[in-house]
Amino acid sequence: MALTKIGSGGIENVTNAANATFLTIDASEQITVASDGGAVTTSLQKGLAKAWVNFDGSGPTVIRDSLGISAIADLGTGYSRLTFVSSFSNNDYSATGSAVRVSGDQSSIVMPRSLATATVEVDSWLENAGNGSRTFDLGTIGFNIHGDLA
Amino acid sequence: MAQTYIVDKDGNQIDASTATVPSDRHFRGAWSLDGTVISEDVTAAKVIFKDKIREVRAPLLDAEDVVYMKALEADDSSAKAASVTKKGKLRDAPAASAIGSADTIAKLKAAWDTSVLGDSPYA
Repeated sequence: MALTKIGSGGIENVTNAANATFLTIDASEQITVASDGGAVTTSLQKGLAKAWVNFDGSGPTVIRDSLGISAIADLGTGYSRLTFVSSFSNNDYSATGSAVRVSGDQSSIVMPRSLATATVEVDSWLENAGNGSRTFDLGTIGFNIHGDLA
Repeated sequence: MAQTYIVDKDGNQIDASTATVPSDRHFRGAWSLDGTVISEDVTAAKVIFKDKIREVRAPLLDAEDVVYMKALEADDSSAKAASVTKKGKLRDAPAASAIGSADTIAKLKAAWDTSVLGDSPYA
């Protein structure tokens, strides 16, 4: 099957020799697509990252790139608040962070501090081998949010 | 593009692009906003400074414990006394008078005792 183009004349170049349903849009505009192997289906909306950002927190906050983030507030050392363009329907979303390692014997850790429908607060830490950990202004922080928008 | 803001120690917020900020972030938790200028509160900075001393001295105290144990095993009284003196200086470092009397951030940074704590993180 192949869907190559939706033009002004409608959907073009659709072939479906297997006569299988590969994309469904229901009355509430929820899109279901076939899995990679075709054995099951999955929700397109639920699978999308609703917000993500890559920013520099080592000095004045610099946003390198983002989606669905309207603002970042520098709240302190290794402590930021991201504001979403669109609020989530609840705070049961999944928020994950990442960071580029500072040096060989140190670990960089980024994690959510608190979840709210319109914002998420983010902590960044530096863990020194054999010398504990502390909040730290990391140079490359990535943060992704998957969940249900309102 | 997303906007960036700075929030000071009291929760006051300003658009980062309009703010005048300190030259470094050593005392970020002591930042205080007045108009569009962010300055560093010396009293709050002293708390951060002392925490930094405690962080830096922790491995130094651990290392000195080893020195003391070796002196104990060797029954080297002068080495034991030297180690006790050094550990005492490390324990007393956060209470140094230069920290208490510092009334500017520059004086506070200068209060780092390199003879006890090693290289200053504020140099």
